[in-house]
Amino acid sequence: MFLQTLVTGLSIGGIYSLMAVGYSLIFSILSFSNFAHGAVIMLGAYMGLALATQLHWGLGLVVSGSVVGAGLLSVFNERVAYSVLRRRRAPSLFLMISAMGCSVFLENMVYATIGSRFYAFPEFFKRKVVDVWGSSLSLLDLFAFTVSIGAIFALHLFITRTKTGIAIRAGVNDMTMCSLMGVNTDRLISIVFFLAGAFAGVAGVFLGIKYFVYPTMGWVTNKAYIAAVIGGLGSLPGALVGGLILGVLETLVSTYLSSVLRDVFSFTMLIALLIWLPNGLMGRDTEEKV
Amino acid sequence: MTAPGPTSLLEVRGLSRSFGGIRAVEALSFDVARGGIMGLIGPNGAGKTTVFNLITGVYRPTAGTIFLNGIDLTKKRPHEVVRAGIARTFQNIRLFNRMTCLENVMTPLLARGDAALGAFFRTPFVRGEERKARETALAVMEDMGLADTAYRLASTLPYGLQRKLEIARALACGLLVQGPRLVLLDEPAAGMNEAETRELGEVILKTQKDFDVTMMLIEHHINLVMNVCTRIVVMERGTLLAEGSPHAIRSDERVIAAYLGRKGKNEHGR
Amino acid sequence: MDYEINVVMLACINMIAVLGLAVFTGFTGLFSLGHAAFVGIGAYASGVLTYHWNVPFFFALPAGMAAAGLSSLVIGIPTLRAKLRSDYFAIAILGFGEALRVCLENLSITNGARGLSVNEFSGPGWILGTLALSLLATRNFLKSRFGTLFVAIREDPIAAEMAGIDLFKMRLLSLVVSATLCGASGALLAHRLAFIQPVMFTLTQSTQLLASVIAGGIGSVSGPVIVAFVFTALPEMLRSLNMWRLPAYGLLLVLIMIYRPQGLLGYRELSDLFRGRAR
Repeated sequence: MFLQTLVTGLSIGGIYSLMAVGYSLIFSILSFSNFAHGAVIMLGAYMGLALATQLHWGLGLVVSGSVVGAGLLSVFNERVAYSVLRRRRAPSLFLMISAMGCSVFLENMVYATIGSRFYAFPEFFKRKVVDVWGSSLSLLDLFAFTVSIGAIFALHLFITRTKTGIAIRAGVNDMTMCSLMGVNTDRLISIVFFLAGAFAGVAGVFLGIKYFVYPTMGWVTNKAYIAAVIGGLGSLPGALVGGLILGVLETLVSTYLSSVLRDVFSFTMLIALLIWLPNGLMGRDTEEKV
Repeated sequence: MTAPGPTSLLEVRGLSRSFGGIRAVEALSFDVARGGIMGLIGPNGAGKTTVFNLITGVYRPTAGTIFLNGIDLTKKRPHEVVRAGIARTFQNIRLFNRMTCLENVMTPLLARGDAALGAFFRTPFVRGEERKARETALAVMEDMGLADTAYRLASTLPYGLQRKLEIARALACGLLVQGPRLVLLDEPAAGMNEAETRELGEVILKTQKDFDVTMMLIEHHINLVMNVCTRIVVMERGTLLAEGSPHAIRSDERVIAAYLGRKGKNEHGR
Repeated sequence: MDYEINVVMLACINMIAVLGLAVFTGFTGLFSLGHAAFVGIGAYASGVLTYHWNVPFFFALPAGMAAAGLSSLVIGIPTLRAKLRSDYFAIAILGFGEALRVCLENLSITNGARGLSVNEFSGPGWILGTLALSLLATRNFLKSRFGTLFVAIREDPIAAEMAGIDLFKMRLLSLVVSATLCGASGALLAHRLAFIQPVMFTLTQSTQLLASVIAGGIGSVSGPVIVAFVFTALPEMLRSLNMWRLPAYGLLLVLIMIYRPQGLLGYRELSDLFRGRAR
């Protein structure tokens, strides 16, 4: 029982991590919380759904399509809603309000056009169950977990080993310096938003397969945001650890205490953590320079 | 020798602060005597502003103590430090941009007001308190030669006047404090030319006397420091390098090597 | 005519809540994604009193305000003491709103998610009277030393603290005043519609409040209040377009940030326009 709860928690945590990465990436480079990320995830799920049900593509193609689609959407989002503010050096509060606006706009556009119906993905996994150490685990959970960890690891390699990745890390440290050194910061930021969007695409498809696809499914990204904050906004390992911790604790709470309390627990935990560790477990010191 | 009681206004003992393994200030001890102007100099990154941030409670020290006139300020929050008698200006000017200059100077006075529920009804008490704050603030601005800017937005002032306004606001902080007051000026002459710096030096000397405050001054314009300061503390890499009168500091070999070195050579080259 | 009066009354109720958020976001500079929760607390506290114990509305209205004000301490004390970054604070208060919704949906005294049917008490007299009093009291309050201190905090929290302002106390005061106004709005709403449900007080409503404050202008009372009226009345009059109301709010927020961050009357009041004074 406990082991099963743990593994279920880890698999949910894996998806949280996948989404949290998007928040952390963007925060690390622009220092604001991109509340539109949830809407990108939701649209990624709809794109995947369209590919799977209209074009009858297989899982691999569906995920790739959604990755590209959500990635481009995320870049487009930045170009339209943030780039002007960013160049004007507007306070990060303005970026956040703009992101909030995007989120409200996209979510409700889906409501107004596609409608509030719940859609299900075709059964990619046939509800198969695997037996691990005496507890039965759904194949989907295992698969989602593996892919999530794999994708985050790949991102880590990209950031640490490639030239572009190193440019991104330089940008994280000092954007102005980076542009003075001749790095095209607009391009760099587009790459970061594409990566965040790509992860949103994967997360959207997994969420859609595990549950349903509907306009407010992006709501679950509030959990991912909490995960990112727990790990420390701006830190990739933090996003992974934060997601896993939140996933496991939440599952434990809903199994052993009450499923109603689950969300209350997550938010309470967030508030408690922010008070004790304002920079999260692995975040950088964000104390303002005086 | 002299009268009993604490002779120094500010006592800093073994002050340390590190940021993620980097020791910004380490085991720093110095005293600021009451009256006069104490200069705090040192190369970039020596930890001077960090010392101001530690004294004013913006940062918590990792170790050490800070006493003002015998009162322990080590664990006080910034507004409590202000109420104990320490006010400051900032390296990069921090004014309330969308408020008038008068409101900027009034803010510290209003911060300690007593009006509470009456504020919803504009009782005579509330109005009286506001009038008093306004008059006091105008008097400070008059003394600083800022009277005709009172109703302009702070952000519309030219740079030099913004610096002055920040000093006026810091002085206003001390007006409600019983007992001695300390004003910390963080690079007030940054970005000013020679003439402006000289004028600022006169303003500093005048306000120090007129308002009967003790001052600490971080400054890179070495002439300004030598002209206005009564004592100087030199920092290097977070620690105390030397302390003494301007004359002694000028001829201190270690200081010349560490900090004045290049400038000293230039002066000889003339 | 009845319909028009109804729409105007709803708009007036909404104006009180927006007025509350304007104090907090517009003047003190903190961003809230959870103020609908305080409207909800005002609505439920007063609704439960009139429904279960037949408390007269004369007492239920202030009780709703007090409940909202006090509940703001629950979230305000820990988060404001910790001086959270503005986006962290926004998400914390959003969490508070969610936790509240879960509670309202699972308590028996609130009749759960099905909602509570109360009596209709708040006629135009109550609504206009409360609105007028709220506007007057808020204007006085913001003209007093507290208004100056709030603006100083919004302009530069660090400099404000170094001017001797107790950041925590002042931000908390601002939150309590703003939550109390939202509570009044909630109590009036409950007894106007005669029916309340937890789903009426969620993120969507918080976003609408925030959109009004930002579109109306940071640092202004009249701007947000005017916009709140337009935002409530206009979609009600154009019922057929109701579906597009929320996408329009979202788009509006983005466009305002890009083209007119100061909103309709940023840092100014309606009266300043007539006097030709800008600040």
